Parts: sequence; C-alpha cells; structure tokens
Amino acid sequence: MSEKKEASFFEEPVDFGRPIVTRGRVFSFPLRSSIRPSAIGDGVCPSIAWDAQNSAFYGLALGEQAHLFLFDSNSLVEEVGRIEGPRPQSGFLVFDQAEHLLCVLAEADGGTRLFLHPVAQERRMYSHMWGHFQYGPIEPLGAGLKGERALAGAFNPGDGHIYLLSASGGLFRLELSKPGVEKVAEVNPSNLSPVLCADPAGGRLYGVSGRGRLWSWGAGGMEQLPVQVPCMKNRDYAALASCLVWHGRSLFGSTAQDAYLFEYRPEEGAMRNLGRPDENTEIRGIDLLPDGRVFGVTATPKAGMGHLFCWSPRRGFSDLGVIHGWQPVNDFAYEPLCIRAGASGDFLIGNGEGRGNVFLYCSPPQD
Amino acid sequence: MRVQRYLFGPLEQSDTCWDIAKAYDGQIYVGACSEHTAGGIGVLVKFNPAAEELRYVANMAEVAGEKVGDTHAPQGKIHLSLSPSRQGFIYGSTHCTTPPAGDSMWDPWAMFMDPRRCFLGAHLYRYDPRADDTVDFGVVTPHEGVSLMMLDENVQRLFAVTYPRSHLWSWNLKGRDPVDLGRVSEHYVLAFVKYDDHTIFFSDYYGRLWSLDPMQMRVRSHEAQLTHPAYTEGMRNWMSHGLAGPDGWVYAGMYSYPNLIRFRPERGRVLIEDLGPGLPPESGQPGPDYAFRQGSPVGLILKGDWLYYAQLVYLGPKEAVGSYVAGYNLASGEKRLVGTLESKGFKPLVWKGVLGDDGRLYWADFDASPPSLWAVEV
Repeated sequence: MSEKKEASFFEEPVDFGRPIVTRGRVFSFPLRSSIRPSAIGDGVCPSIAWDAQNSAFYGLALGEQAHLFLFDSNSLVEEVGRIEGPRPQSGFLVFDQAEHLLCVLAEADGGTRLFLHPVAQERRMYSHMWGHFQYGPIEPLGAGLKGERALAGAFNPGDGHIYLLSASGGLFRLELSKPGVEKVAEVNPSNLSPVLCADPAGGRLYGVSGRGRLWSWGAGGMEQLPVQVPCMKNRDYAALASCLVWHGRSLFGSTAQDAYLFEYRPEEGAMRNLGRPDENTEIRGIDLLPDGRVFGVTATPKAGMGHLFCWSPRRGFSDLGVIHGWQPVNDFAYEPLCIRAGASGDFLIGNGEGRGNVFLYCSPPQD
Repeated sequence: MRVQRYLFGPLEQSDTCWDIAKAYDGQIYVGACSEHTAGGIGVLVKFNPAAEELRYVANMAEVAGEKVGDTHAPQGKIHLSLSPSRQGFIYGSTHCTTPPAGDSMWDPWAMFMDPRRCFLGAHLYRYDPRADDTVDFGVVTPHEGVSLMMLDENVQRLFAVTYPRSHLWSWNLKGRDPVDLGRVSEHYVLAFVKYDDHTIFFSDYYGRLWSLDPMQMRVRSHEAQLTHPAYTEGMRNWMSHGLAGPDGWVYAGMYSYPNLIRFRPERGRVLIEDLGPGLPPESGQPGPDYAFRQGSPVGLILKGDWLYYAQLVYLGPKEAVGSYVAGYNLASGEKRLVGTLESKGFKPLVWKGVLGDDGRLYWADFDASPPSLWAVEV
C-alpha cells in the first residue's frame, strides 16, 4: 500500500480544461457533401434558417460564390442552388414562416441584393425515400437596397412582413407580395448591432445600438428603451449584441463583446444579466428549445476553440465543451458563426474559417 | 547496404526526431524532441558528416527564454520546421504536445484556456552556424505550435501551419508582417512540396490536395483527393512525405496508405497514379512483406534516378515493426528492397530523410530515447 502523501498546493487536482462535447453529440459535415456531390466550395456559413413544416434547415454558404443549401432530417447536405452575382461581403437568411426564404447579400461597395427562394417545391417533392431532389428557383427580388448594407433581418408575425436593418440605421419593410422596399424608421447608427427581432405577440421590433441600448419600433414609432445589454465596466461604448431570440414573454440575447447572455422582459422592463458561459470572448449565436434551455456557440477571434454552452433556468450555465465531431468526418469548429434550433433538440451550427462545413448538435433530452 | 548509427547520447530526455534538414554547407540538422517526457525541451542537433561529429547547438527553452520546469507546456519540440537558407542560416520554429513538468499527459484542450498549463506559443528562431548563435524572433503563433514550416527564398518568406487550429501563416524572415491565410485542414498538415515558383502542394487531414501560390499569397483547393485505403474515406491520410521529381511528378507517401503514389497537375486537373506495393505480395520475407502491405512510405530521398524511402511499420506484429529501406527507379519503374534499417538488433522507426553531400541517406529515429541519426550507404 502506498504511503499517503500530504496534499500541497502543487498537487492540486489537474483541471484538464474543457474537453470536447460529451453531453449530447456533435456531427460534422462538409458542405461539399461526401454523400452527394455539390458545387459548394470553401466558404463560411453565417446564417441558418429552419423550416418546421419540411423539417429542414436552410443555410447560406459564402465563398467565391454564394450558395443556398438544405440540410435535411436525414443529415444530408443538398445544394439548393447558386445565388447569382459577385462575391458578397456578408449575408443572411430570413424565413417568412410561410413559403419563402429571403436571401440577403450585402456587397462590398455598400449595396444589398435580395433573392427569394420559394420552398413549396421541396416541401412537395422532397422525398427522403425516393430521392426526388427538386428545388424551386432562387430569383432576384426587386432592386434590393441601393447604397445600404443590410446588417440583419427578421420576419414580423405581427404584420406578416420582413424587416431589414441597414448599417446606416435604416429600418426597411419588405412586402413579398408586391416587391418593394420601404424605409419605415431610422435607428441610431452609432455602434449598431447586427440584430433584429420581432415580438410574435405584439409585433414590435427590437434591436441594439449606441452604448448597448435596446431600441424598439412598432405602433407609436421608435423608442429608445432605458436598458443596456450587459458589458464589462466602462466598456459600454463597445457593447455589441450578436443575437436576439424571442421566447415566451422574454427576449434572450447575447453579446459579441465580453460574451454575455441576457434576458429582457419588456412587460416588466427588466434586463437580467445571465452571465458568461465560458472563457471565450464572444457569443456568436444562441437559440432556444421549447423547454426554455438556451444553447449557444462561443469563440475568440483568431484564437481559442469554439465552445458550445447551455443555459437552463434550472441549472444555469453548462460549458458543454469544444465543438468537435468524429462522424461522418473528423472536424473542429474553431470559429462557429451561428446556431439554429430544429426539431427534436437538434441544432445546426454554421462555421467560419472558410472550410465550408457545418456541425449538427443533438442535445441531450434533459439538462 | 551499410548502416551507421550516431547516438544522441547526452539527450536522455529526447525521444523523437521528426525533422532533418541539410544546410547548404552540407551540415545536417536534426530537431530532437521530448514528446513523451513531461517538461522536456527540444534541442537542435548538428551533424558534420565529414568529421562524423555531433553537436547540440540550441536548446529551445533557452532560445525562447522560458523557465524550464514551470507549469506551462514546454518548448518540447521542433516539428517539421527546419528550413535552411542560401545565406547559410537554419530557420526553425518550436512546437508543443509535450506535457508540462509534473503532468502525465499532454492536454490539447488546455492550449488556450488554461492560463497555468497552456503552451505560450511557438517561437521563430534562426541559427547562424558561422557565429554559432541562435536569434529568437519571438512568439509567432500565441498558444499554438508550428507543426510545419518552409522557407520560400523567391519571396523571402516563411510559410507555416499551426497546431491545433491548422491555420496557414506567412511571415517575413524575422517573423514580422504576418499574414493569416486561413484554416487549411481539419487537423494538422504534415508536408509541403514545392513544385514550381507558384505552387507549393500540401494536403489536409483527408488527403485532399491544396496548393499555395507564394507569389500571390493565395491558397487553392484542387478538388482532388490523394489515394487512400478503400475501407476509409481518407481520414487521417495526409500527404506526409513528398518531393518534386525531375520528371514533373510529385512523389508522395501518405500517412495511412502503404503504396508510394505520384501526382502532377495537368490542364487544370490533377493526375494521380498509385505506384503499387513496394514488394510483390508474398515475397517470402515476413517483415518487409508486412511492411509493404500495411506500413507507409516515409522519408523520401531522391538520389540520381532512384527514389529511396523507408517503409515504416509503427504498429503491427513485433517482428515486423521497423523501417525497411526501398528504392524506386524513376526511369524504369523498377522497385527493390534495399535492406532493413537496424544496428546490433535495434530497428529504428524513422520519419524524414535527406541526402548527404557524401552520398549517404540520412534518417533520424522518432521512437527511441535517446534518439539517433542513421546514415545509409546504398
């Protein structure tokens, strides 16, 4: 029997950092699918939308070319099509919850091109059993936003319109039935966060600008709310939100600076700082499950490893670990860009780094 | 085949040598690493073939100015980074994966987030043999190691791939003016092959072929996957060894594939040829027979018309583990087994190789403590 040693400072238990995700499971997929070839090359995946009716994720891949892809419930990456035009600087998707997916591509010269993709065809024809892979077109929608670089967009169930927020602070309303873009309001463009979210009940829009102040627009016009997103002391000049998601009567959000998660309840006017999930400096995106658990991805620009986290009202934060999948390919997400919840607790994570890859996270059923 | 072994006697902490390079003055340099020894430090070793003399010229902890034995992951390795210049210098960078002193294992997850046990970063250094002095240019990749580096003298820049993020970087000769060319592999890159002034080939973790244009500083995917075993999709099958032959082909050894292969760009595509097993199956020699079916070709060296390499068996039957020297004639396609690399019953496992000015083939071993340099006359 070995002699018991005296504990000392230098014999503290070794903390092996945060290992890979072991609660739930991560799968990694190249967008140039290894199962069905696609024309999607290397690039980033900055935006993902979810069509509940078809149980399919839609994603945007931006590289030398822009592509729209579909990730179905059989975990197949399918290229929907190429979005015509020059290489965009950034972009995002907005789903109208009905039959249309809006692809918004911001150009390096400051303009924004809009494309519309009807999803009815793949809902009708898409058959996992028989392989009827047919897609509707991706067509330009009007003239886009001339001279305005779109930062964020949201579908407003309150009035059935899509709204776009531009870098110069313009808030635009888009009617899909009669293509045209109407400027409805102006937001303080200083330090404007690339987020926009609509209250599904009241139809008000929310965003963040200036020193992390929330703004709201709806009946009664534009309103600067007397609350700020969380940030470290004396850093509100850099406060930047990265994501806003509505859940119940709360608005959950995350910050790209200092990596805070927060909850705002408009009825009470209460902002709650939920804290920081891990050591990374940015929360890149969050989404929620119906049970109220928030899942998100964090990263540190040009350093560190992408992490997944979970926040639940019951247990608070869990750092789920480094985003690493072994199957069907072995890959890491060091720079996750976005996360979107699907059905059955699944999340699709879009990755940066120009690798043209996404990660599927199947969350555990309980926290 | 005559084999001469030069044991790195004083380097009791060293257990692996991954890189070997020949300087323009004919001296041979080896990076002796401490991969499995907690707190171990990498050492640059110089071999003078004419005098058959070994010298231990730079200790990586001293070069980096780091305290030996502290809680951080040490400067334990010199991976595939030794880069001789025409001016007579040797450029190199440090690498990680050695556990901190007192720890039993290397923990890659502590790389960035554990302030106590993290690796502080890879240092770029330059050894000047005339002054017998090493200059440290500082940390070039904070909290990451440099797993692979090469010098392109046309543009006077270094190109390197980091671990674990596998980003391709470029710096000038002093480690300044950094350019991050993005992530180029799922995990590690193990070999650069300079093909022409505009093309440096490398592969990612799945053996997909990429190239770098050092003039334009652009990275290109060739949409081609190098040969891999049929039972995998190419996972863990980097191009780990390669050289450009005089016939326009790049000859390569893959990490998880037993046959020598070659490829060349042609009309915008890449032609890939599998050169087949190094020995006919069932040749009646158990060790080599196993090696040429299950091993992998490493340490490619071009000498005249012959391409020499060591067929490596790292995992396998005990009697088969070792390195088997083989040759492939570029003109005729003839293959031959040259012999088994061993000395007094010890069979080393080797990685990269170089041709000495004395005509001998040099490899250094990566699984012995202390390691050795092996010189082979063929």
